[in-house]
Amino acid sequence: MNTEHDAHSPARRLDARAKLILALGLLIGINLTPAQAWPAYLGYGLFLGLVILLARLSPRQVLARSLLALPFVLLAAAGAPFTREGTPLWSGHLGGWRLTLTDVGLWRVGALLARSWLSLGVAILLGLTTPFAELAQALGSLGVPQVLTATMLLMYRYLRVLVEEARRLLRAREARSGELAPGRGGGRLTWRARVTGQMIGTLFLRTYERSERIYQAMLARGFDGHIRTLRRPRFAYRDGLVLGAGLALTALLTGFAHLAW
Amino acid sequence: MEPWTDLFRNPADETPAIVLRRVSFRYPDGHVALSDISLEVAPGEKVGLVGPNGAGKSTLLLQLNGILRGEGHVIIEGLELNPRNVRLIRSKVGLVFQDPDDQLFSPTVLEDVAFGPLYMGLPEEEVLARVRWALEQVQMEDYLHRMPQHLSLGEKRKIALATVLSMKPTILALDEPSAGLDVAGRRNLITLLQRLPQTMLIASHDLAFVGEICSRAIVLEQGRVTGELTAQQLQDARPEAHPWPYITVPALS
Repeated sequence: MNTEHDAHSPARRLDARAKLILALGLLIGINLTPAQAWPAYLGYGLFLGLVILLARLSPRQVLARSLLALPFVLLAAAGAPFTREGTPLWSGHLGGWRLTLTDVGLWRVGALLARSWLSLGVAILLGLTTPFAELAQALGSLGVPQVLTATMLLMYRYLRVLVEEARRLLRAREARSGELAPGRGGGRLTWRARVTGQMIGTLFLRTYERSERIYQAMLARGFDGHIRTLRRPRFAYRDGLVLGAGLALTALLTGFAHLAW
Repeated sequence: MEPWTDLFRNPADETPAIVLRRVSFRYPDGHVALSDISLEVAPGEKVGLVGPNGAGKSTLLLQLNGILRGEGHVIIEGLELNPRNVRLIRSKVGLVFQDPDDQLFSPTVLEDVAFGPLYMGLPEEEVLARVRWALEQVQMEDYLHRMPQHLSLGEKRKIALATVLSMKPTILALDEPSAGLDVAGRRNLITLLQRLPQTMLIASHDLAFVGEICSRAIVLEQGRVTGELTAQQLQDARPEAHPWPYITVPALS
């Protein structure tokens, strides 16, 4: 999740609490921006571009990650072009339904896509510039209960364990699988479903046992349920300045969008 | 930095480093893993723990710093283990797990080695100094920013050892430290463990490995101490040299 950042970039050095508050501010601002305020969306996009530069990240990598969630957004927005009143652009029948595509509906979908894409960009940049432990610690210092932040941190650590165990299981399955003729699956659907179910069960048991051993190893080195990271957070003047400037810019863009549209 | 001089007690102090008195442990499924174990390890002594699979070696090591608690008394450097002093005792007993992947759970070597000192409440400068020092001890100074998951087994074992050395423990409990290592990796580990001054309890099947490091070995069978191998028997581990058939001369030395 957050291993690709440049450890010495200005975005990485910024206090995690400042980044977290700024990200929340941006998310609220983006989602409060009126549907047709395109210059405001462009402004947010430029701001995120500046963060990418400051974090010394690859724009292509950020773009690729943000596009991963696009199919889900499109699915959620599929009905919107046909449910808004406006100038009809196209009309047709689907089953027993009469569908009318309107200009207002299309604008709505565009705005929904822009908001979703920008929001994803904010989350991705936060993740890429902030180690997870610092993020959890920042959430804790902003009032999120300790039990939640510790659970998040353990989940993040165990996620890798789950992936490693799944890879081992898949590798073992591959090693025991014969080559099939092109276009043919191995066994009937019910048989394959049963094998997959057994694999998931095995994965759960193995991951559970391993997570127990990892927890024991953490206890053996003094883990007490609290999050401690190497980089002790000190909220510096510079952090406050960046946070203030970022929030002011967000408020300016949102306010401008509301006044103009 | 002179590494260990500040850690060890006066050699005249004869308080044993580890004392187990009538320790028994039963897992929740009813399996009795340890039964009435009593043993003593002197300060600075390196002792092996040998026995077949399932003999209770790993379970015994987990008793030393309270990860598992059974019946009986566990006394570390004169302190009887109890819920009040368990954190102090965990800083004294460095436990190195059999599978280094269980011990290396952070994104970088730096964070993994810093984990113990951070939970000892040390200031960041001291934590960083200990991390560098511990990595120097295992000759892995250049691995500070590497991802533990991408290292070889031998490298992982050394880093796992560094994660407990950074806590500057006076006792090391090592669970199968030579398992899966190639000849060179095994030799490196022997040299490293010979050099370290801590009291050690080493659970292993590899008798030649134990023989090169330890002055004696305790034999554990079905959760009970059934005998002891002397330094001479450890060096001469022919089947006829002792009554335990699963202890054989290893192929590698």
